[in-house]
Amino acid sequence: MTMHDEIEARLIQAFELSPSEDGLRRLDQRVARAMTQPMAIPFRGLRTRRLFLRPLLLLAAFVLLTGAVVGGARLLDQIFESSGMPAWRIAWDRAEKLDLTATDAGVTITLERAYADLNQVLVGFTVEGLPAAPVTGHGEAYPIEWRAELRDPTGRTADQWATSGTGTTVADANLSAVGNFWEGAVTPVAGTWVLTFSSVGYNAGGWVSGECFVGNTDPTCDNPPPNAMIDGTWRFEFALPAPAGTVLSPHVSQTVGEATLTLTELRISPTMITARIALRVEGGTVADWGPAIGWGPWVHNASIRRDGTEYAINSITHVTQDPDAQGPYGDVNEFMTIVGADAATGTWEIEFSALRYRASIYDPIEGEGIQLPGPWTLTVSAP
Amino acid sequence: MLRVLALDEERDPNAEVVETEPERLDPSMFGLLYEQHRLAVYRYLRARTRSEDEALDLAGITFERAFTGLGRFRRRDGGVQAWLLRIARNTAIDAHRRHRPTVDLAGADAQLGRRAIEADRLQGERVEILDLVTRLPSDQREALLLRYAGGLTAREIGVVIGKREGAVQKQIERGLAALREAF
Repeated sequence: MTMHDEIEARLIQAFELSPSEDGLRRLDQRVARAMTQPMAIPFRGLRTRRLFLRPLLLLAAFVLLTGAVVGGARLLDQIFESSGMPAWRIAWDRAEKLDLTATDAGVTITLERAYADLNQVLVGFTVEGLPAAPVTGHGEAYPIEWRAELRDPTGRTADQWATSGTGTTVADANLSAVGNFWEGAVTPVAGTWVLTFSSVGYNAGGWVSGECFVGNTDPTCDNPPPNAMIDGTWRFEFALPAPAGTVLSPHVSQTVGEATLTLTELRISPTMITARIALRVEGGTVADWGPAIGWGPWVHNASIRRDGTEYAINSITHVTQDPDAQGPYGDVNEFMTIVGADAATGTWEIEFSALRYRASIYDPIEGEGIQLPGPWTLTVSAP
Repeated sequence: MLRVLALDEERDPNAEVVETEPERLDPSMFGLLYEQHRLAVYRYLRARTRSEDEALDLAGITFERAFTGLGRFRRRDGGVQAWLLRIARNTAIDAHRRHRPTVDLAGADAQLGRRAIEADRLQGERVEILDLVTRLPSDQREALLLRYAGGLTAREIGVVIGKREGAVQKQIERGLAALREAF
């Protein structure tokens, strides 16, 4: 062993400190609580209740490096072509072409297209006239941020029906393009939608990991740039046809022992299939539940199938986070797929190889929770 | 529920995991990510703080920030552990500056290191070597903490502190040489 090896061994041994069991448990619980909070998508005007955002739908920002100035519609095309999400492409291709423009505070927003089916609403818009985006410590341009309120033909704002929202952006020179989705039970009527932006810009104040707090002058910190949001009013009214899709309300159940799993709603639309499923345990409390073996939203042991064709689930929304708000069927989750179907006809089968639940979200997270061995299968036929 | 790994199952600091890590992170990965890296984050923060409680508090903040900022992760920035330790380092710097705005970082770190030693009542060589580490120049000390408490490679440390891999390697070598000389 060389001297350096010996010194290294001593260093490793010196730093080999582990927290106490109690300390580690507290840390586990703290992180678990953080993970059960909704991941806010700031400045979209949405109340997001989704526990875990769709992996492929996390905010993505791209800055084109070609140097060529590209038109807004073309930028939006690039978003949907490069997303790897067939459902996004379908939504964009089927969207109503609007080309509506509003200017305020020197900033012009152009609403290029809008689309609605029974599972989600998409708007594609461009923003022109913002100052150059500030650059992060990693040399990346900060993505554009915005506040917007979407009102459906019945007058409901998105926070009344959307369970989550997401956006994807692309920027080229002084032009930014945004695809903004609201996901949830879209009202099934044709009519006039109203989209109102109240702020647009950069760094609205959301915390960015790796950065120090604003005002920290330590040169080793990667500080966020100053707030660069521009307030104004950019209002758009546009008509959309009745959203495509079918809603089934089967209320089919499977009961094993004290536990009952109920499919209360299946929404089938061209871009997504959403299964709303509730778990109730007689004489007990279900604070949250999932199909996972292990902890976390690992949905690989759950499937939605129709006549042998599988529609991959990649997201779960915990709808009833407050146990007191649960209805007669118990704690409700929404399971969402990454592809949809134009027609509902066929036999739909939703299967979980096993379930688990917690009686309290503050329960210790070690162990496996309360297991409900499966398989659990819910079947519904659509004519 | 969280699958608990035995401590020695957690990330091998010498393992080249960066190439197998995802380009981006999504929330579904966070539970496993936390399990794999919590000990490294804790040890790094423990080496910079006075007590277990303080280290755990900063580790909690670190993972809360990491979860909030998952969308910002890029594999090219050095891998998950480097990303987490960068957040941890900024968190520790923030905490330090909030509480001791007028004390220079190097002096405060040395003071904190000594207090940590006292609090833990460490014995013999452990006390001696940690005391020596706290006396090293700040860049050498930081490189050694990230290497031997955080388990990062020189390349990953470079990402965390914004230096080239070669420069980091030199700092580590100089730090080790100083320790060797002291011993």
